[in-house]
Amino acid sequence: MLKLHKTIESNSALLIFGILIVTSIGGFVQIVPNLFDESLHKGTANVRPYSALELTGRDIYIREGCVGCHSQQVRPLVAEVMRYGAASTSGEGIYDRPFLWGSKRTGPDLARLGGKYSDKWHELHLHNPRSVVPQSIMPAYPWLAKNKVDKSIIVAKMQLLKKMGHPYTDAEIKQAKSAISDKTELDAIIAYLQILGTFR
Amino acid sequence: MNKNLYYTDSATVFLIACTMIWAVIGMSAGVYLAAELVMPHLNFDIAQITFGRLRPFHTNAVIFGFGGSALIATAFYSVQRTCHVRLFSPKLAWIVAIGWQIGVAAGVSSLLMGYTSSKEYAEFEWPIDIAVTIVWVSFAIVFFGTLATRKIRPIYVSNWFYGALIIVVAMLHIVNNLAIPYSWMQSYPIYEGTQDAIVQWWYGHNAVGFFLTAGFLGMFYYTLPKQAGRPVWSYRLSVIAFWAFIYTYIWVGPHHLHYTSIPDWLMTVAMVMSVILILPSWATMVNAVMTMSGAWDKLRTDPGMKFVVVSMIFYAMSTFEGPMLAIKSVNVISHYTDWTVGHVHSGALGWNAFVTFGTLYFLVPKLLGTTELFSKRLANVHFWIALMGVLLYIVALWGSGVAQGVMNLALNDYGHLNYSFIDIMLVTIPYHWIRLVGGLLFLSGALLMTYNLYRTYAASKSALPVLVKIPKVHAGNEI
Amino acid sequence: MIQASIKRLADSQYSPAQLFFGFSVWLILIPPISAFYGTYQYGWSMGIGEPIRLSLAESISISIFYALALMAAWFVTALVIKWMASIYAPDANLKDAFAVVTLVTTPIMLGGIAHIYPSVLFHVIVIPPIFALSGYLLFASIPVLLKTDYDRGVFMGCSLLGYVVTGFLCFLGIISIAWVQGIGLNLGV
Repeated sequence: MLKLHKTIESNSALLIFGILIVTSIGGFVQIVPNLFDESLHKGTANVRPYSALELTGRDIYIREGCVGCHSQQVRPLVAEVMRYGAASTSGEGIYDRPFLWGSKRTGPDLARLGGKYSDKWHELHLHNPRSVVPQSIMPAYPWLAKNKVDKSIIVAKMQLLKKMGHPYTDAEIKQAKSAISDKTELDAIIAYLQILGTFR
Repeated sequence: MNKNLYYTDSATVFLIACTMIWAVIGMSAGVYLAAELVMPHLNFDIAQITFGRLRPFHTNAVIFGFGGSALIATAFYSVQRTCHVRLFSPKLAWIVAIGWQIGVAAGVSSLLMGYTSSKEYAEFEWPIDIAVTIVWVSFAIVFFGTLATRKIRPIYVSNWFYGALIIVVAMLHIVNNLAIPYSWMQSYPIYEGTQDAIVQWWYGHNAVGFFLTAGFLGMFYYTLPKQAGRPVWSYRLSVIAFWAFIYTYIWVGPHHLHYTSIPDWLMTVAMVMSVILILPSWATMVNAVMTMSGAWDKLRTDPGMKFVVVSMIFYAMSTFEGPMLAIKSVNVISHYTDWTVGHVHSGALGWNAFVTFGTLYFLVPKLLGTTELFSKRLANVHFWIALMGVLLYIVALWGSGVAQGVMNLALNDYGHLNYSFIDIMLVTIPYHWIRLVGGLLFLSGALLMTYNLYRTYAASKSALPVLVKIPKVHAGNEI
Repeated sequence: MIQASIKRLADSQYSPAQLFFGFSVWLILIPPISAFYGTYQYGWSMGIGEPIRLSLAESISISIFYALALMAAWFVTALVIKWMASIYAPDANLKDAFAVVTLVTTPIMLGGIAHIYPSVLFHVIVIPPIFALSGYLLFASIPVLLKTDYDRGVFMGCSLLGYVVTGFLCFLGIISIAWVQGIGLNLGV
């Protein structure tokens, strides 16, 4: 064995090749079988692609880095289900590009946030979290109400997603721009937050 | 003068300066984040410095700015000397050095502006991803080119680790960042939902494993024997440790996804491989400890040595804590809490930063042709401040993390949740203040070091460039 | 003063058994007994909300487990020191290893009285200075008690710290698993 190694470590090409082979195995096993696992890619009964406004809102959620403090994945543990709602499933997320499960709960999990609070509550909360939750440490996002959404990219986004398999109709894409014209970023993100968890 | 008779270190000196600048920028951002968590008004309603945008700025600045510059600097330095040959294309090395700075700087700035993929440690959007790929490929050319043109037959162990760093990071970066653009700075990944999560954490964990571990082990395997003046204790152990390490690490990514919607078998495989990973990780530590046997007096006289020796303790601790957190029953409590953050920083500060500080304290006087740092006393002060900072940080977040994890799940006698989310959040406040103090101490130490290295440079500027003649290879080892 | 006591301990003729049964075992009882009192009387609080109360039977059994764990850790540490001494301090014997553990664990065991006030935050604040003192005693005593030179002693101290931290993490892991299995805490898993 050691003789084989003396050969490998005297030849940079063999070393590169060896490293590549050895480190590819684990990744292959982790990723490839899942590409063919139906249960990860089959939608639930209620899942649908995000509407133009919801998609805009989701991308604002990403832009502001909300995923850094808020998770979106309820674990199948008794206490979590009590606290946040039914455990998350793969089928709900088949139109999530990228996934937003998060890895830290500085703030609560949002996977099943939809419908829990009124639009007005979200408006106040995003404008200044401490106005509805006095001890909150969440930053304020007052510019969301002032900024109008960027209409110029919505069609490109939805066409790209359609190519990737999201079942948008041509009509939906044609109407996308007018669907979000005159909407503020606040409207968009509230639209997104209110459907979270409704795809079960 | 025949340049090929001498090593070339100008790019290394430049990169070391960049390393310290990124240390200050990245760690300051970290301290500011810690402050925002206890004083949220520090967000000042300015979008670019809100926690959500500043966090990936911090992680990318410290991992790729600080860590990346340190790795490229030390790779260029050590690959030449372990190959007994001048760097393959010093011009390309300079392009790598500058290109890396531009790439990371552009990347972290774009994050503040809100251009992010949201995938952890892979947040840079597609144009920056392409740019850093070009720089990284150039790095590979310089590094492997030097190996291919070496004058000594065996390739030294530190180069196996740097080589693994380069190859695996390239593979991870390309596969995880596969995305289709819809605008000049925005894209959607080709993966969706659960598939995206699996690919992301295959990447995310191995970014830690290869960028922050294998790469720094390369740094360590060169620096420690040099500083101790003794060869690595066991060649056989380093062979086993290397191959077992790079094989096993790749498997453990899904331990970031315990109890999520990924398949059960994947969680179990990740957990088992994570525990197995302790063995190759600790094999390196054993090698390190035994290598130092006989070089006892170095610790007292050499402040850099203190950093390198203590880095091994934190390396041992972190590579034990990681697998422990990967056990599903422990993960039930720790996932989504500060315990994970504490674990990250015990590794990042205690292992990565410490081994970098130690290596730079060792290398800088050599590179500048002096024998002494500007102030050994300052370096010692740095050590104690930094050590206190890390310990405060970790202990505070152990307290906070365990509290968060337990309170999240605690039921009262009636079987209902015992604590609201706000209850949990309020409990963490004092621990977050302690963590802020720890971070401030660590940042102060880094500032002291930057000053120390700058004064060392200023005192020896006139002697640059330092010409180091390439020594002849011992008979029998020539290629 | 500390140096003088270390020297006295080094010069003494106590056997390992005398060190343990004459001194350490009594100190080892301080944390479990304090923990029993604090846990049963007040309950552990995380800072706010209802403290976590345990029944008499649970409190007693956890305290006994704690005492046994401390004793096991004491012995294992002494044996680890003896084992590491083969490289770092070849002139040391088992009694010397016991002496180091006796000395270094004294502040920690005395500090166990803090368990009477069962607040996690209080403990996080109290731990750093106590462990800093123990750390100092570790590095100050190794050269004297284990009859080795200063530099080797520093390396040995660092190795021991690594072992201690790993041991603590093991403990944390075992406790977490115990809690998730339902021992001591009611977690909805």
